[in-house]
Amino acid sequence: MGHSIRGKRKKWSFLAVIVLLLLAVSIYVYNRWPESPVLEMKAAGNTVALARDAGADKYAPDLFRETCKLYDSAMVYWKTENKRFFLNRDYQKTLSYARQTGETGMKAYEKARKKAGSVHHTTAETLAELEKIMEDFKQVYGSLPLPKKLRENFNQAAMIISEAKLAREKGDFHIAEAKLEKAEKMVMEAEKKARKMIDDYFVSLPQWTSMAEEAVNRSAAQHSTVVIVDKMARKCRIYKSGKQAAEFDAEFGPNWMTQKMRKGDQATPEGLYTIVQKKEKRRTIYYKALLINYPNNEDRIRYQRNIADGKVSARHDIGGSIEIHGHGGRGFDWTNGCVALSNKDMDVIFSMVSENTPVVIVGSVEPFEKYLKNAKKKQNGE
Amino acid sequence: MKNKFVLGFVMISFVVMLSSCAKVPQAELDALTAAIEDARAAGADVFLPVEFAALQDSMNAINTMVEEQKGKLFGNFKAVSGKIAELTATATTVKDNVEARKVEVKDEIDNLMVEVSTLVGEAKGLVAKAPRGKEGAAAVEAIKTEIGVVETAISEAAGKLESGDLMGTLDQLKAAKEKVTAITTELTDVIAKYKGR
Repeated sequence: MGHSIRGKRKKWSFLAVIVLLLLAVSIYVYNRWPESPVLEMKAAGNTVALARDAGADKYAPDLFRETCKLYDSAMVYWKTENKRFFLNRDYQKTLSYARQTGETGMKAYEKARKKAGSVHHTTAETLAELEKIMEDFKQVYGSLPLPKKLRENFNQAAMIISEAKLAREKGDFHIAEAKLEKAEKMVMEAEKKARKMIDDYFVSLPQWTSMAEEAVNRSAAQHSTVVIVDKMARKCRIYKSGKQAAEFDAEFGPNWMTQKMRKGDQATPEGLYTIVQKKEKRRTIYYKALLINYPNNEDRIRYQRNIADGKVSARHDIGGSIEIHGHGGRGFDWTNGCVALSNKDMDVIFSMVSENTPVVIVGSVEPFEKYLKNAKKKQNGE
Repeated sequence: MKNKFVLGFVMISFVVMLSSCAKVPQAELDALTAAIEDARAAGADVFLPVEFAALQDSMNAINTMVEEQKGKLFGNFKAVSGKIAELTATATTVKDNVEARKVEVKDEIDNLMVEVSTLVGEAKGLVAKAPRGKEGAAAVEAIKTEIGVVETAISEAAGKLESGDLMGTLDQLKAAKEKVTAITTELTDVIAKYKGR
């Protein structure tokens, strides 16, 4: 009996030891169980979502990419550590990446918020500015013979601006911004090239103005008639005794913004000429015509120089048969280098000039800015 | 002997209790990842960006929940499994919606392609009718190059469509429509201006 009680006691004691041992192990495990970085990872995830909602992927793409990378790294380390035996788990790297995610994500959020707030206005401003530049460009260079490529680039820019406008309407301000930036570059480039073309053209302005002034003074001194053709103003003016007696709209060759160099270049020559023949009826196909002495000596010298400089091929003829003739009034430049007037105006000029009347053809008699001012005034009906 | 057996049993139970509290629903997680990837591949990030961003955020939240449970002494994946199932269904719906949106966009592109081409034809017709006098003719000459740019835009849009860039095609065609409409208006004005003289 005593042996049985002792045996039971021994057994219970043994079980109690086991239970206590288990309890001790449980307490040990509980105390040593590493704390998972749940809150930090949740906060990091929320920051990613917050930044994305603020449009950081569009307005702060670099920072947002960095944020996502940091978050992914934190997640990878978290997963890796969770696979280890609990005593070996170390969440320090996970925590570090989660904190970095939060910091970078907030930077991305702030930057995106600022950008999103301003891009609405900046794109509206840029759009308005560009539309104004486009309108001015059309007004300034619209009637000038710009190179085809330049005009195409300009129209391409107009198309991109339309796309930017649509992107704005859709609320895709970052797309609108990128498109406007591209369009602005194209417009500025076109503007620069067109401006250079004008500047190059107007280099000869002092020479043109003195040619025109001298002709008018001579007309005054000799009480004679002179014809002055102003290509930029698209005018043909008659001076009698130094006073302007008539003014007509004129049309030229499509390539009028350059000195004539050879036959077929569709340029209208610049220089001092005289009327060598008055033609009408069957002698001209253009109603009435005043043949001038192109090429004169100066034209021939320039032509030879251009051949020597390689600017003109020797195979090309210098050209000729430059006239002031009728069939004009079409509103665009269509001749092969001649000056075209309407038949009605041709009747008037025909009666005012004679053979040997001097004809001065110049690029312009006033600076481009003045020409622009006058063109604007005319457009506004002032 | 009996005591050793009891001790062994208790120890094994303890180890089992610690190591296999619950199983990670890995198959469901993989299916969810695949469903989100399918939605992305279908173009959810382009056609339904808001919905796709929500999917990504929910996926992040689920990953966090999974790791949270994995890190616990007694992990429980029941709630996570429910969320995974829900999000998988949402991802599938998003993918279906993307397909439906693509059909809508394609229809819109087809209609716009016809509309813009018709407008270009009309503009060309107006160019032919436009008067060749004074400022009118100069404007018409300038307009011709603008029509050329619209035609280029249409061919570019066709190229984008071929390469599968539906939204790019749509945007370009919309811009082309706006441009050609402006051209038609300008031409009509030029004709009216000339007629009035």
